[in-house]
Amino acid sequence: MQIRNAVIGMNQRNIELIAGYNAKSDYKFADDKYLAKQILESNDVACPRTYAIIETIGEIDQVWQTVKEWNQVVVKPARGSGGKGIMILKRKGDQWYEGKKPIGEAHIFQHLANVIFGIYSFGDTDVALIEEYVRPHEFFAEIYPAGVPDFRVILLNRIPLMAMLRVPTARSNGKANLHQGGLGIGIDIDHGLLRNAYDGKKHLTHHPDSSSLILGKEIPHWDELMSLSVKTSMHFPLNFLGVDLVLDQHKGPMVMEVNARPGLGIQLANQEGLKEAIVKRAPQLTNLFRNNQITA
Amino acid sequence: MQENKTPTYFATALMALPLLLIIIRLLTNDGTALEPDHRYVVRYDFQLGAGEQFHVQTFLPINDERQRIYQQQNHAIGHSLISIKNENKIIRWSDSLSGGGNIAYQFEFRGKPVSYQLPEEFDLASQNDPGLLPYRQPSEYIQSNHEEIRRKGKDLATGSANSLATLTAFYDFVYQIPSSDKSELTDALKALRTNEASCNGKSRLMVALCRSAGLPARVVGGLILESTVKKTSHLWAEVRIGDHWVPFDPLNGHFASLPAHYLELYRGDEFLIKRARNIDFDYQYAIQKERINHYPVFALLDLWGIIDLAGTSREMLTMLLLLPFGALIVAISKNIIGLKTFGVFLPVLISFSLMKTGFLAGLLLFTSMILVVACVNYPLEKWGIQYNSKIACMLISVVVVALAAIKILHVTGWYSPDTPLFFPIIVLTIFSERFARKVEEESVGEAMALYGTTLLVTVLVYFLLSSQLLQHLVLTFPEIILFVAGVNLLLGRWIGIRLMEYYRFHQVISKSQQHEHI
Repeated sequence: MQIRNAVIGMNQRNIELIAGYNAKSDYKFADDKYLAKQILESNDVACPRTYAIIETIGEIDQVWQTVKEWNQVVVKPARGSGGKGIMILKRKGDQWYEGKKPIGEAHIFQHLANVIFGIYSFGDTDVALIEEYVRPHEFFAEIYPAGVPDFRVILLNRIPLMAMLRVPTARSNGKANLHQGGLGIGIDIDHGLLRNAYDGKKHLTHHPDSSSLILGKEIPHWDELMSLSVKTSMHFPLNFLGVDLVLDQHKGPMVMEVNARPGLGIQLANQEGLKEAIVKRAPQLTNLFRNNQITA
Repeated sequence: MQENKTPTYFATALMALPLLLIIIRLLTNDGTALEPDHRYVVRYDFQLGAGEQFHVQTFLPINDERQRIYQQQNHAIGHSLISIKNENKIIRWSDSLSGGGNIAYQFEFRGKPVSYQLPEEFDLASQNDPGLLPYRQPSEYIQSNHEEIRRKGKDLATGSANSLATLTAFYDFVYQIPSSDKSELTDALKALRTNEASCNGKSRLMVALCRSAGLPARVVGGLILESTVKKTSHLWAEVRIGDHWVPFDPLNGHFASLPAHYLELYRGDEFLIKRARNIDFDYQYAIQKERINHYPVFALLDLWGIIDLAGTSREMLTMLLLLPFGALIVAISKNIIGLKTFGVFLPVLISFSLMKTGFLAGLLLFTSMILVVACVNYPLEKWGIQYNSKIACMLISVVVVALAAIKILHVTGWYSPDTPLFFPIIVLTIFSERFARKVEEESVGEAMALYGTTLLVTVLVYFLLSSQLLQHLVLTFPEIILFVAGVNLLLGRWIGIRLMEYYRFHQVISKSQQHEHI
């Protein structure tokens, strides 16, 4: 098999999947996390609770006072991408911490101002979302005890094609995105089993920091995670999308966000091409390939 | 998904139609799109009054590395005889005349500019070359052994005769002598004494100074070509350096260089025209400049005409037309190779800046500015300075460093004050903001990596767009940008794997193959 018969590259993703399956006017439902949240909440799709929304720099101080009561919150730019601008905050007494690092309120306010100013959002002004912190399921602690791992499921016409688990590492500072140093772990979606992990360079069977075995591990609540991703896709007009899910210790699977331009690194995590996956899982859609290079 | 074929047909038409037009223009016009971009048709017009016998002789140009002569035509009364003497080609017309007559000798000239980079110390010409002997000794109008000239030469010389400093001192001295518009013969000594000279006095003085210092030198005569009818010929100097005769025009300010439109006719201190004294005689040189890359027939838009007649900036038009080419290279780099850049036009604009500042100087300038931004980022980030103020501080540091650089360059004389820095500085500030933004949104590392690939693409764009051939081509055939549009349309619908993705995803395939074998 050749790469071009298995893998989907940037050009094909952009032209045939993103532009081919989605209307440009629908991107906003994924790009704007606030809008996505409203769709999820109004359709009873499980998702982390929204504590507050800050729309102007002037109201930062006032709104923050209402947030201070929570012990753990996540700050997100509503229109950020690639995990940029996300800040996970924990409180001990009156002191907030980002990871293990103490952080002053002035610094938090500055970050909120930057989010609202839009520096993580392609130059537009933005809205800061303050959300419930998801307490990762104990399953994740077996792999790596810090940060919030999440699942990414890519769906085409509501059919799950491929999934991966993104796990933080020591060098990713609590974040799970592949290009921020996280691990991408492929998933056998039919059986809910973890495959190898990919660290951006090579494939690993164990977590590089904790040395825990990853390969072959069974994912709890996998069927629920899959059905939640399909349910999410039913309520979005996007036919090609990535659904990001988390697994809370108490609340179980929840949808974190929806992505209209899911990255192609998932193919590396799974060591499988998206074209192969389409042939296997959605054969009725293979006529989308202009050159019909599918030979699998 | 049914593929829409319309864009493909449209792209094909966009590519084919301009090519068709270019082929038609190539077939219906006479010329070349390659350099040089001008030719001159030169005609000697000699009018002779009635008389018993006459002879007229003058020089004909010779082909060399710098000039090419084509289409020579002799329309003249009487017999003509061509001979070679002292490296010069002489034509002599003679006959008996009853009612007077005309001599017209026409040829076409194509020239190239020359420019020599002289080392601080250059090789002296061989002492043993007998051919150089006449160019070492004084002659009637070049009194190189005269006391005053020798003394002047000694005063001016700094170091040995074969040093660039001495040659520059001679040249500068002659260059600053006030020009005279008198065309009468001025010898070297008179030019020195009266401190006023036209081309012939200045050239002879330059040659005399060189010879007094032991450097073989000679005057060279010819015509400065421009579309006009004139009588004035021109004289410049040549100094033998190593194995080359290096030109100097101390009247028009060409040091070790000569522009393309100098027609050389003879070497040595000769008279351009010699004739029988006993007849009425008048002469003129009719010169017509013609573009050879003009292709006027079927031209939808004659840009050369606009440049020549309306005086529109050629540089501006070239830049305008090259922008789409630059953007195409950036698009190819991204969609086919997989190299990401800061924006699409930025690498093109940086390339244009490099053309202004010089390649290495420009790269150094841009890279040092980027490093300044990266360094300034650290304290600003640590102190928690707001985004807007942070970007402004970064830009101020860029301006401070730019000012310091300009000051240093002024003091050291590494850059001439007329280097047009305005455009590069504008591009630099736009670029610094993009860079600072990337640093802010991601990290210094990511921004540096993107700067690296941007630089790579910029260098590619620079070398392609610097091509004289491409520049001539777009000005002569501006319709070619429609072709570029067609290529972009196809590229924008190309779904193939990018070259760098073959590398990125190669592991996916090795695993898939394992699966197959199992």
